Amino acid sequence: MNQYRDKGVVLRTYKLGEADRIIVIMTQDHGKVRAVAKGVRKTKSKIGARLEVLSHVEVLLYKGKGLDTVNQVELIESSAPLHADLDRLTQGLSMLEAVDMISEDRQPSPHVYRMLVGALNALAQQASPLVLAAFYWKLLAAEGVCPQMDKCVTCNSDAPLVAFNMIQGGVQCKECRTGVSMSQSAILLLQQVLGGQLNFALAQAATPATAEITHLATQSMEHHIERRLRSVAMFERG
Amino acid sequence: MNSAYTPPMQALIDALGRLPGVGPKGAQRIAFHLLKSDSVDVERLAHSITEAKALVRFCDHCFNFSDGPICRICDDDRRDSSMLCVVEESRDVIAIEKTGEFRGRYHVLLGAMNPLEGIGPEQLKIRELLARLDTEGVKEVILCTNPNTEGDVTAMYLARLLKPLGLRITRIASGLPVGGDLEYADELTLGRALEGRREMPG
Repeated sequence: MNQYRDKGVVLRTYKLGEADRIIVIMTQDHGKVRAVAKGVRKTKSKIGARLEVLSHVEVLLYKGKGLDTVNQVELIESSAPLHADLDRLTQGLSMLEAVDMISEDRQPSPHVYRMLVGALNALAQQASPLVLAAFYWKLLAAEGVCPQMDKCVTCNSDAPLVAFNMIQGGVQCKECRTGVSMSQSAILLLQQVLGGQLNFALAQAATPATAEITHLATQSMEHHIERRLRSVAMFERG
Repeated sequence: MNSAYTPPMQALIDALGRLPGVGPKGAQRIAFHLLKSDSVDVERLAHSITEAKALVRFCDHCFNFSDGPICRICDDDRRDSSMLCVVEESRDVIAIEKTGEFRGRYHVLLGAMNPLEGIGPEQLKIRELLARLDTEGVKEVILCTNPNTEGDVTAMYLARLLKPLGLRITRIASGLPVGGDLEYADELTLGRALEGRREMPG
């Protein structure tokens, strides 16, 4: 069969011709898929609203030579709560951008899909200051570049940790310190994020430590994908 | 492969084919039509294209297309200066004007913010908008950007920027098309339509 059904999150859309769109969708079983959605830019289109970025949808796709074609779309989860708040919307877009950069076309990666859905749901439910940072760290960990958080990454000793080195990928003690300095509370918080206490960490209120981790998360993600994240650049640095 | 057309005709077809919504077949049809029609008509078409290109520019106030430094809407004293409608493109001004419902003035942003493409507030005419608010006695700003992600980002960004100025900031409503069927509406639009419901006069 040339037709297949899958769940996915719409990562990006590009205009195509007069009324069509190319959508890039992170699916559960087929990885990142590019597909043409015909006529979705017309007001009459029934599926246009469901194929906006951030939508979590179930789609019926028709396999083509290059691009697939979208046949049917059903909404699983509305992205309306995200669209109602500027901060949540931009954080959601930053998640999408990172996922788009990291994933390869048609390489099934159900864990990335599940993480993205989970993170977007978390973002929709509670505006935790750490959602975006936690998602970036978890995504990096899933990519196999989890930073070493328990011991100094240079000398492996148990000496007190004071800094973070992005290139070596982990925390450092005072003796080996070459990276940027990192506060004790930020180190503890990041250990919790990566060490199975995610929900506890997400419940924290905004502190300088959460800002520190968010900044480091963006930098580490940009270091990993070797380019700047445009959506983050617009609101955090500018 | 040698082209079946003579070179000037091929050049015409190529130029036409670059227009929006015109494919190779359409370009060919238009080219044949032009070559068959009177040279007077063709001259008139060529003249109107060059004249429009030479004369039309952006209005200094609202960045709508205009034939002078100030566009007709900005120049019209009868329009209500206290209401300012912010739109993405010039064609949105035309769309709103056609409704006949709006008698205020416009501001064209010449685009929308798109975080994923890196298009930020500084690429739009937002600084110019702020300057206008100071001098023109605006009381209400209507954010008429498209109801998609880019338009929503732009509207929310502007709302955050303008709220401290003490103006009334409104967003155009989203809802069902007139003459449409409820059962065929998508859930996002229907949800927004419900959210923005209004009281009926008895």
